[in-house]
Amino acid sequence: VSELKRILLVDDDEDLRAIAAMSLEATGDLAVKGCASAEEALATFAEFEPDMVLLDVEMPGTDGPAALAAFRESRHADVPVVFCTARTEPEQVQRLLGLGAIDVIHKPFDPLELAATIRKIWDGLTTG
Amino acid sequence: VSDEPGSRGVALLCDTSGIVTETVRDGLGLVNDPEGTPLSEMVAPGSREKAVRFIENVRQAGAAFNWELNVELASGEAVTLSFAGTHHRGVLLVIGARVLDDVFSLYEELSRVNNEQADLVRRAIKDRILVTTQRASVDTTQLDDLSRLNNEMANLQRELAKKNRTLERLNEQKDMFLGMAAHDLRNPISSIMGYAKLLLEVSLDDRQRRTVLQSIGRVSEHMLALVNDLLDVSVIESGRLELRREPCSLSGLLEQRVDFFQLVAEKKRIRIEREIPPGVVVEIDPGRVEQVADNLISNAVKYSPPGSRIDVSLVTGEDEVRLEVRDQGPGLSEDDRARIFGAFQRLSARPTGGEKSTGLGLAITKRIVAAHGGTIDVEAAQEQGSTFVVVLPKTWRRRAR
Repeated sequence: VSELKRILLVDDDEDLRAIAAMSLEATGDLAVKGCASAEEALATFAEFEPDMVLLDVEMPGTDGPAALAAFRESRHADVPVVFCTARTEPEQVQRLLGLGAIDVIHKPFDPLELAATIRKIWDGLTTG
Repeated sequence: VSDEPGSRGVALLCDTSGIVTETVRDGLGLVNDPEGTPLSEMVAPGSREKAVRFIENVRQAGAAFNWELNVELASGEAVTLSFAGTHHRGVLLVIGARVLDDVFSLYEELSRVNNEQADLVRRAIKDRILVTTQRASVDTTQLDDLSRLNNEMANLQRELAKKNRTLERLNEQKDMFLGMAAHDLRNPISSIMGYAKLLLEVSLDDRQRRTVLQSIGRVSEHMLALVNDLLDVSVIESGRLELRREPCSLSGLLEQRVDFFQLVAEKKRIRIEREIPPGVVVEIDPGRVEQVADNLISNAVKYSPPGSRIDVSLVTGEDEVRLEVRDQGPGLSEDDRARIFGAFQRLSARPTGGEKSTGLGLAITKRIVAAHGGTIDVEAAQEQGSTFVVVLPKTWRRRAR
């Protein structure tokens, strides 16, 4: 069973990236790399080798679902992706899960809970 | 013999000298074609003098009754007829019949006919007057009223259609505003709350604390800009934008704004070149035009890659001035160019230094320029940079309505 160590965070909001990074580092002992776009994320994969990607759904240009499709086409097709979205309707969540995400996190997230939430998702993935 | 009085008598119109001008009735067969013949020559020779006196009487007294004159009818029959006559405005009406009663009957009948004709004429005249007055009133009043109402209705319809379009647009903007509020207003608030929570609950080192506090400051600044832009949009959209125009040195204003942004640009290694002739004075609202300049120059800095160049130039024409802000940024896609001056539009263009945008700046800029009677356009092709061109009238002539 591999351990969750490295998180790639893709969100166009610089401040959300900063908070998430800080809370994951400070409360979850995780290494976090932030990217502002899908393109930046794709360029980072090889060098950073994330265990999990937190992917914002509502981004200008390449949005979350398009980014996920691009990841699946890349050499890092197997990387587990968790969507982050401000939209909480069950249909939206179902649609995102249907695209191949392992889970959906609601924004805005509680910086004190984020690390625990992500670990729970990771444990479910490795045991289930 | 008919019972009709007319069949038992003659009625003639004569002039004042007694010459017959018209046969109104001839139920007796007095004479063929009497027109032009004096009444005195139509009677038997023994009555001629009396006929002349009768005519004289009628003419002078206005009426004469029961003058008996001998007459030879066309049939050759010699009869004595009772004559009566009236005079009215140079026309003598002479009536003759075998008995006086028939004269009266005939006279009454003619009067009645005359009255009826008179009534008819009166009515006709009245009708015509009515018609003409009615038509006139329809023309001048009712028709005017109708066409005025019609115009008002057409205007009202136009107004309603306009209002409807405005409401549709406002409704779209409301939807976009709600979408924007959900994203652009909630995100910074949740960021600030998140930062506060981290500061309170997590042990951070000094560097981290400093980062958090800087971020809170930056997010708050952006929210203030957003709220200011929203207030501007609401003022402009409700038509309450009032310009305080005064003669103002546009040259000085631009120089000052370029100086200000030079500092920001230097951090991104962007050069701002200027070509601003001195002493260009135009009638503008300086505060609002400064907003226009700030928006265009800050956008150019925001979307330009490091190491590139921005050109700010001012050209004066006869009646107008032309302000250009040219950058070497990524340019605009067709889709972005079509929507760039709309409010709450999310474009695919992205700031090159992680700067934030309210998405309202150019919408506000366009409206300020329009309020000055000017125009704003963008010349931009993808990968070739963008040039924003503002044309402002030098002087402000209140447009005649």
